[in-house]
Amino acid sequence: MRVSSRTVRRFSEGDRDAVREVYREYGRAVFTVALGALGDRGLAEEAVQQTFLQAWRAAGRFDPERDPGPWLYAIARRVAVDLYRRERRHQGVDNVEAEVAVLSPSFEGTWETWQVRSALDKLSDEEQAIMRATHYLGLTHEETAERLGLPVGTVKSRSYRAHKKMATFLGHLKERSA
Amino acid sequence: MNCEEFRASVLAGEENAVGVAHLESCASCRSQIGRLREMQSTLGDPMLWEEPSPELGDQIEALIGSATRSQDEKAPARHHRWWAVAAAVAAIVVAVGSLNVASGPAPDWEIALPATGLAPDAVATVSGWNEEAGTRMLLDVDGLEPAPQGYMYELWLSDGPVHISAGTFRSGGEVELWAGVHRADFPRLWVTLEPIDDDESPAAATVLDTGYEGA
Repeated sequence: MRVSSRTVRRFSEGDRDAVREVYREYGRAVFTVALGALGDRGLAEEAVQQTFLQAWRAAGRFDPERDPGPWLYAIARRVAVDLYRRERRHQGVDNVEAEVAVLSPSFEGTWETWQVRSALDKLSDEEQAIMRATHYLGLTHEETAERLGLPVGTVKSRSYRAHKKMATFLGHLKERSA
Repeated sequence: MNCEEFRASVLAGEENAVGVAHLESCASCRSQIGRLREMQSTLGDPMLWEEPSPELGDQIEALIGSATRSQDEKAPARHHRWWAVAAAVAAIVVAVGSLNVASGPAPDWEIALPATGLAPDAVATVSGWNEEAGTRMLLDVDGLEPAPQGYMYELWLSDGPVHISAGTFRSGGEVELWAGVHRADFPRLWVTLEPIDDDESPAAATVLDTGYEGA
């Protein structure tokens, strides 16, 4: 579920509740993309702040009927590039443009990462806990059950439901062209 | 096994003989299998599971809240007519000050500062006078929002990775600034929005930049 067009309108007016709502919906995805691109938590959090500030400044020109996700992603990516350039300058790299040109390996997969993170955020807290245990911690169903204090059957059914939802959320993504 | 079950099993990393059989008979799933495996791999990336600091949301809310208040303060209220009088007096003072600058020697150089996406309505020029001890500059900027609370604007002269601050200001108009270097040695001029903190390096939020060529 994405934020409503009414929320986007209120966001552009600086409404605190709307800012909180948009951040709650997209903040983690912005952070994940920034962290993937920059590889540093502090820089990634700075990128998240700048992304939301820029989005807020430009929100009056954004069509509130559209999904703000791709728009926020585009801003986040640009902010991350700017930060990357700044850091390279601080490190005394002479040819900054060339450095940015070879950024593609880290930036290329950021849209996919955004999509996967956004899909995870649509799951319930219980389902996210199962996903984290499976993919991040690498636990088996039995180990997950023990860690979360749940029957193994419950873990299996939640895992199946969570992965089915993820497949549905991500089903619109096409095979990457060669 | 149907398509939904098969795709869930691939994302879970639980492909088995039943899944292989389904894949052989299903063109739709064959067209998606590469993408699904990429996503399954993405799910195992530790970076995907990193969480931002709990206070980051509050910081963003405060940042936007202060920027909103700055905008509200900028909007003139009808019942504060004395503001208009004060503004007129201030304008005269600024005009006299400008006359002093304008009536002095002509600038040695003048350059436009293109606005970035952070300040799309801003129009700015910098006039410079080369002095023995450095460079005196007059920044003339319209359409720039006043800096939010806790922030200020800063003009930089840069030569590659070396940045020299020419001073700070809070809102547009005509601002006199000074740097102890010459523009011939530091060709790039740019303005950033800086948090008021102990970090002396330029922040990422660039609002005006001679090097800006569009998003």
